[in-house]
Amino acid sequence: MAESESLSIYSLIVNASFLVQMVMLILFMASVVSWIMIIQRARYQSHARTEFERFDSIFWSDKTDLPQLYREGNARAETHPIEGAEQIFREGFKAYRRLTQQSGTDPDVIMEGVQRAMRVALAREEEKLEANLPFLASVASVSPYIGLFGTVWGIMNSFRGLANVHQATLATVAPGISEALVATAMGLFAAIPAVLAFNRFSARAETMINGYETFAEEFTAYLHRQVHSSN
Amino acid sequence: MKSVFQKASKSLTSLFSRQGASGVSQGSYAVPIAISVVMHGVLLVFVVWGWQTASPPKQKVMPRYVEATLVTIKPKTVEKAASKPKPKVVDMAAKRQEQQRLKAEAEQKKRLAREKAERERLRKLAEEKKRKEKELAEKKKKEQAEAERKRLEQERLKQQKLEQQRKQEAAFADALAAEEAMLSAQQDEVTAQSYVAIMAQRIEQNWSRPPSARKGMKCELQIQLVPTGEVVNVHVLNGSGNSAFDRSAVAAVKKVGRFDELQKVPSDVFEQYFRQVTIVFNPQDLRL
Repeated sequence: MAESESLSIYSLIVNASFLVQMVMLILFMASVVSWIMIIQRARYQSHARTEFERFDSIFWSDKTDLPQLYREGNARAETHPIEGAEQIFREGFKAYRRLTQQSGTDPDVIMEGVQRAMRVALAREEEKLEANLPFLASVASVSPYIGLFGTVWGIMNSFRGLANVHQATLATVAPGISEALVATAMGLFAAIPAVLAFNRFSARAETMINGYETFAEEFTAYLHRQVHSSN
Repeated sequence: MKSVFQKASKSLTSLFSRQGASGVSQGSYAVPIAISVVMHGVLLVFVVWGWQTASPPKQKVMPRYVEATLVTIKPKTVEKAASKPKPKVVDMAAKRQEQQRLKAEAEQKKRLAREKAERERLRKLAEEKKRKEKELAEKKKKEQAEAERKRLEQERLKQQKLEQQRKQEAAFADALAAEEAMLSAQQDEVTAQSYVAIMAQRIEQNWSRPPSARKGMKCELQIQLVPTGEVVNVHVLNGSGNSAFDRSAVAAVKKVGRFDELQKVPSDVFEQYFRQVTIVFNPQDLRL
């Protein structure tokens, strides 16, 4: 009873040396923050995807009138910010309207202005989709090393204590090693979700950006037709 | 607690949403922070308590057993208490009047008897008093005579005791001296033993294990020393049966050369034990 108590995970953490405890604390904080990032990314990206699908279906339905869609967006922009493909559309359409209102502008100049506006909006959306992913990547790659450092330090200490003992048995080494291994376990605990989340979210961001780019191209083609037919 | 948490989450939110300034927010961080912190809190609680909840069920068995014996005792007392009153109620209702009548008669009889008894008692008391006084006077005389006799006897005993004490003290002093001598000898032996242990350790440290050494091998070495701790001569008294092992033990002693620790040994102890010392070389760290 007493022995099993002295080897519980809690007492192993409490009785560890200061440096190992610091390592554990850093890893624990890394785990907490990386989970905050993971949950936030998951929420934001799923939100962005549903928004994109909704907007895509509205945009390509036959009945939709583009100025009408823009005005609806204006009304909504007052309550909460507009994101994703709709933002790209709004930036492009705003530029298009401004340039067409100035009479006698060259169609190529109009198209160039629209494309530039959409590129800027696209870059901004891309940045938002990929925010926090670098943090996840660094947690994923560094925390196993931090944990390993804690373990090596703990084992080093336990062996140094062992050098003074005349007769070495497994019982004299085992507690120190198991104490030290807690640090590695915590490092892996922080790293594994971060690796999985980083891979998943970066792949998802990639597909979303591809979708936005395709949409921007299609919209450009549409405006191009409009500009050249009206002239 | 909650307000602190909210403040922290707010400051974190403002810290992370830099893009909020340019008019585009990415969704709040408050919910993810709450979920993550709660998740890790649950994990911590599990780590702290989860390993300890596995053992208690064994302990709980004992109290239940004790409780069971208590339960079996209780119903018996309840049944007895319940069975007695019932007949009484029935009897009381029927016999109450008769009992009252009987009581009244009995009381009258008792009163008469009590008066008689009182008179008789007073008479007896007076007789007894006289008799007691006589007895007391006789007793006093006897006691005085006895006290005198006792005093004489005690004095005689005292003298005897004093003599005995004197004899005992002398014997005790002799025994004490003998014991002290024995104790000091014992202590010397203990110190000698501890130095022998140190020597064995030094030999073991300087010993190189021959490949043929096996667990349980031991050999007796006789070492001749001088007071500086230097080894003058070594030879094997009783070998282990393995000549390589014996030779390695002798070589280890020669390698030590001088046991510096022995310089601290008091000279009388050294002369008694270390001029020529026999050590059983029995290394513990053999694996086979």
